[in-house]
Amino acid sequence: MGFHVFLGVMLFFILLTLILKSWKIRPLILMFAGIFNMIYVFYIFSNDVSFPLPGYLMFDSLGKIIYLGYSLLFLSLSVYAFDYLKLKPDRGNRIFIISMIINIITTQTACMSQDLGILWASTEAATLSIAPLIYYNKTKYSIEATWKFILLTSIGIAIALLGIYMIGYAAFQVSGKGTLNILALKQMTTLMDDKWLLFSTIFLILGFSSKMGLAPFHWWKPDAYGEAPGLIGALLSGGLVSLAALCLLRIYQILSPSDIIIYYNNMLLTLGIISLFFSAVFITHQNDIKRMLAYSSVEHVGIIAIALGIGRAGLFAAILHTFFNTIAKGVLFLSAGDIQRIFKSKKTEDISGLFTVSPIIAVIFLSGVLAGAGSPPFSLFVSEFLILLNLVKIEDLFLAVLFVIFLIFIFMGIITMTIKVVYGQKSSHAGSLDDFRPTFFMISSEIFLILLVLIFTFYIPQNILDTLKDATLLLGVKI
Amino acid sequence: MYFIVSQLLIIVLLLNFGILGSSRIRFHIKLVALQGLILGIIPILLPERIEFHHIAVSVALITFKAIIIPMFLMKTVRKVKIKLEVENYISFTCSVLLGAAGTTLIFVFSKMLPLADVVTDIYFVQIAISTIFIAFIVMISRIKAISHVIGYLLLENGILIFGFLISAHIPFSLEFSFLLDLIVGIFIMGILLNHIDREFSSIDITQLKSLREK
Repeated sequence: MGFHVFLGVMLFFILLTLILKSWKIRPLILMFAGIFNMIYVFYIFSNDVSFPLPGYLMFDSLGKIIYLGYSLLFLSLSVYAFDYLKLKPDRGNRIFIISMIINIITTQTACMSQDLGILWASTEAATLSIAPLIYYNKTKYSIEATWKFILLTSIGIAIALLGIYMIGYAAFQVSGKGTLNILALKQMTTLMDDKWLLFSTIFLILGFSSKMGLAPFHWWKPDAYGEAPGLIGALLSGGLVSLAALCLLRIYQILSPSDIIIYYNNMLLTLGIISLFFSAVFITHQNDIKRMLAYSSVEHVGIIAIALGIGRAGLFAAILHTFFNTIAKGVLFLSAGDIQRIFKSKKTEDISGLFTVSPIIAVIFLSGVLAGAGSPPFSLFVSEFLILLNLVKIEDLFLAVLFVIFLIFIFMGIITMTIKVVYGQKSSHAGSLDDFRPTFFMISSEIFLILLVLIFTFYIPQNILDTLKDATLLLGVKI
Repeated sequence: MYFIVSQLLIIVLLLNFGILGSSRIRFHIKLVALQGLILGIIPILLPERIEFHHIAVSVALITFKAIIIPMFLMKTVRKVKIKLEVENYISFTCSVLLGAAGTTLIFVFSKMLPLADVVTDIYFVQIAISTIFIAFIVMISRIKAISHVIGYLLLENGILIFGFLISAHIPFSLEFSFLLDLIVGIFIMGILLNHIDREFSSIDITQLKSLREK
């Protein structure tokens, strides 16, 4: 069962979505797509699959681990969407479902790609497939958010393409034959001209970090996350962020033998610290839960960037954090969407006393927030702690202290707001649960994700652990 | 052939300044279309022996860059009744001067870059980077949302010029992927423009500020 089978089934699902007239049955297709994708991922993890074009499309360990995180998130989202879409009978769900399925195809292509050109094209396609989803609510605000999202990420990705052309040109100067194959480029980097390689690195990092939402390129993030449905917020902050992280990891893979890697590290370290700073500043006075989550996402991409910036020691933690962050963000955005529906508002002044209205959502949201803030016993604590440990290990105490201070500020900001949301007097805005009652599918998909975040702290299956180790080996680090 | 290509590239550069210095949106769209047409011809002129795939790339580029996208933009302008003058944060004189200064600096400093073929490659690098620079000036200094689309098209054109450097050596996957994304990107932007019109009375990014930190 290779990629073509997967592609065939997904295209069949798209066709089915187009043909089926009943909007009630259509969400079922999305659920099937999510489940089928999960089975496919299990199959990939347990078997050696051969790929027809290994120079272009092939799952290596790095792609596998990122795709596993995405698939777990997507499975939960597709189950959630089954009931979510029923809440909006007037909207029509054809475009929604098709965009989601296109997103899964393009994300898989990006994870598989062994060629910078294909990686670039599929990342861009994955981004564009999300645009109609942000616009799903069709309000004045969602238009503005979509516009900013499209324009800024498109510019970012165009700049990244310039970087790719430059590295291709540098490769052409070395071998007289251009290539964008990641492994081939990696072998050539030591021979390449430093100027071209440096420019290329700068453009690639600028491009992909604007896609990832690292500060100071994060301005689209609070708007897009704030206005998109919670479901799509999860897809953006889990799926798209991990894709961008994959792109940055691939650049690391290419640059790892050369001296330019120092510039790469320093740039990402700087961007990471700036992201933590912006997140700490803006999260404390936030009065909108979804925008708060967006800044929490800025924090996490900042942490990933810092881990990449540490260099060899931080790579394992960077991959681990990307993986965990994908899953944790799902819980947060899904439960925030529920809260918004219960209180008919996402402003904190309208929301309080969630615990008295819906205890189960309150518990899920609270544990999601704790997980997202990186407190034990959730698995993000492990990766954040690893990063801190490595910061101390490379004897950059100043950065380590800065890192901890920012994290404490962010933690306090998030927790203060969460306590206000969860406890306290029941707000007058709270509708009765008869208007909106979180269904079994919705709650179970959230619990599934939070359990995953919890379980991974104590136990990671040997299979996944081996893949993780192999992925860091691919980046030139043996653990 | 090289002589013709370098002359064409200089026209491309001049067109950039046309966009920078004029105020009429329809004129901008026409200039971008002309730029697209010129860039579409170049793939045929570059190789020593023309193959089918060069012609295909060229036809695709001309179709989309010079015909479909400009038509689409013109339609949008007509349909949503955008005021035909653009508004700037900085004056036209200022932006032209800024563009000229930037271009000069790029022409001076790009000589320091190592090139595979010093005689032919230098124009591509210089004009590509200065087009990208001017694209950023357009995007940053203009207020109308449609000017951002034009700036984005300029940016893509600049990157395409750089892409000509390696087009002979790297299989054409890149050019097509690039083109494909361009189409879809502009398409979605265009749809958005239409909806923005329905919600706001004019396409003006100064109105796109209800989402921000208080």
